[in-house]
Amino acid sequence: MPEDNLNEEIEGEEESKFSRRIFLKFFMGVSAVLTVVPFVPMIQYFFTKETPGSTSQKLVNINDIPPGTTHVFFYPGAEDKHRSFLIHLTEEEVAMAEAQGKAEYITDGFVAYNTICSHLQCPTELPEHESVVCPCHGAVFSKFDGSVVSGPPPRALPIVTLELDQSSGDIFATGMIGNIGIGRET
Amino acid sequence: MQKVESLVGRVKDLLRWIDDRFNATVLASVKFDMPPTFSYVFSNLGMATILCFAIACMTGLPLLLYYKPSPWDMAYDSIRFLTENVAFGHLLRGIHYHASNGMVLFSIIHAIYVFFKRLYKGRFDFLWITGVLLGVVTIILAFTGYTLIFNDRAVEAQNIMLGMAETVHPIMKSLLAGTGLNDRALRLYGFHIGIIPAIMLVLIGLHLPRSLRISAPMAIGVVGVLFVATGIFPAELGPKFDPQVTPEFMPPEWYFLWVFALLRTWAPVLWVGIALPGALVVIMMAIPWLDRGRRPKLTDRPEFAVIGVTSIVYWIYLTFRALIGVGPPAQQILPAEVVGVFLLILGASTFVLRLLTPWLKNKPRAKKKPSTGYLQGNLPLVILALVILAQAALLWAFSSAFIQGNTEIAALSMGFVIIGLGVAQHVYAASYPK
Ligand code: FES
Repeated sequence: MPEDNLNEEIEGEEESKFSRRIFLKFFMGVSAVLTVVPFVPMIQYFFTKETPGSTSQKLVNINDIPPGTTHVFFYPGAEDKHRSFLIHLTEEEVAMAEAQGKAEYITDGFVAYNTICSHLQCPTELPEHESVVCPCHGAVFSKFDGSVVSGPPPRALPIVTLELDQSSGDIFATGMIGNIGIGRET
Repeated sequence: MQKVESLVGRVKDLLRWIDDRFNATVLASVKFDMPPTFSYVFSNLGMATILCFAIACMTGLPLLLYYKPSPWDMAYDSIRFLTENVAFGHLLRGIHYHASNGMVLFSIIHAIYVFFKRLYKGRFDFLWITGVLLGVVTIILAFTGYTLIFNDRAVEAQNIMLGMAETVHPIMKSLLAGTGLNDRALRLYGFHIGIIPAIMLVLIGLHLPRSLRISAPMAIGVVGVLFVATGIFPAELGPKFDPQVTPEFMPPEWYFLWVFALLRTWAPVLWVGIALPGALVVIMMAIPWLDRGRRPKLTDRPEFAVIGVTSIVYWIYLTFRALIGVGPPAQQILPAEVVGVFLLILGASTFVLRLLTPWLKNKPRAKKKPSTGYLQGNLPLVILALVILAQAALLWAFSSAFIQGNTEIAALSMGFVIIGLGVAQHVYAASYPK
């Protein structure tokens, strides 16, 4: 049956052409996908990493901050969210903190923490009596270590770690425990 | 099985619905025609220019998120932050920069091609005018871009620009720079990101033909080349401008070197810096009317061929001459040399073209290669497989370079991956039966 043979041949040819086209399309698709891949990580462009607060920064000299006063400084940067308190506690306050078990971060009578509320990021008021109050939704933090006393915030204020140069009396900020606006796990 | 089929049917319905509604919008009236074939390179240069403009827009918009338009420190520091601390910031800046270079380069070659092919006659005279204007606006756009960095070179460029503006009229200076440094930074920024691109868009609207032919492999190739260029010549940051220190002299961008060479003859700024470029623009716009001949062939209008060749050679001469003996102290380029070389080139090109004319006239017309179907059998499959393998290897190089923070290698390998797709598209198109 020569005719049948002929038909088969034509069909076979078409079939192979058909699959060749499919393969070509498939390869093109793979090539296109491979080209798109390196563009995907580009999304990172829109998110910058927070600069870690590990750089040392001179805050104030010990003679300029008598016991019972508060010094406002900005660390690690100079933006409003970096606003922090350096508090020189009186001896009674240190004793009180020790009695409450909140003296962990007090070095030589000093304590410092970032003052952006861990609830919804309002800046807090200056410390009064034993507490630091957030005006927005009434959070109360402990003046001694920034831990939550009452109110809505979920976490304590981030502590700024301090170092005192004994010879010159300069106080340095050396780092931060916790994240600005998010808080510190206790 | 039935479920799958009905799902496919629904997806098809959804696509049909989107297509239908889209066709009712204004965007549907813009027709892009993608020829699947590899077309002649020179007829794609206009497309390449527009593509570079689009890429400059796409990379420029994300740059807005980090750039701070303020004088000296803030602007410079924001760009340094972008370059050093933001993931892909360096790459994006580089592509933006090279897209501007590409716009200038492609538009120049496009104009040369149109000039020699005499495509500015007839209905195209209007497109030629808007094209010349587009060229001018392109250069202004690129220039305002590099003044924004506030490094030594940027401030130098600002001063030269303002100096020239003042030579024209003091009011020009206050238009461009306002009063004081804050104004200057803000104005250059506003011009660069808003006003000039808007003018550009209008001119593009007046320059593009109704239906655009975009060659997909070429377009992808251009994108790839921009990445490769970024890998080889990353965008510079340069030293921060410090008013206390005399900046080290740096020549301007390559497309300004010819003016720079002319300025170094110590001729009056008003003449070589403003009147001459202005006159050139006017003359260029008048070309469709200066050229009155009816016969289209280059050999039939030798004076235009001579003008074209002379201009190109002289431009190249000035560009390179500007870089010789820049000092410090910069040596004067003698006016006699500039004029003499011009006459020399004019004479030489006249002579050479006259010699070539008989040959050009009798040159057999190059046969057009078949642009499709020259890859048959299993050959395209093999090539595509190889391209994919190469792309995969390059991706691996990209990822390891990216992890190591080697932005140059990352850009380079990314560029070649993209070029790979262009090649694949071309091979695919060429595999269709004749
Ligand atoms: S933001 Fe401070 S209590 Fe809500």
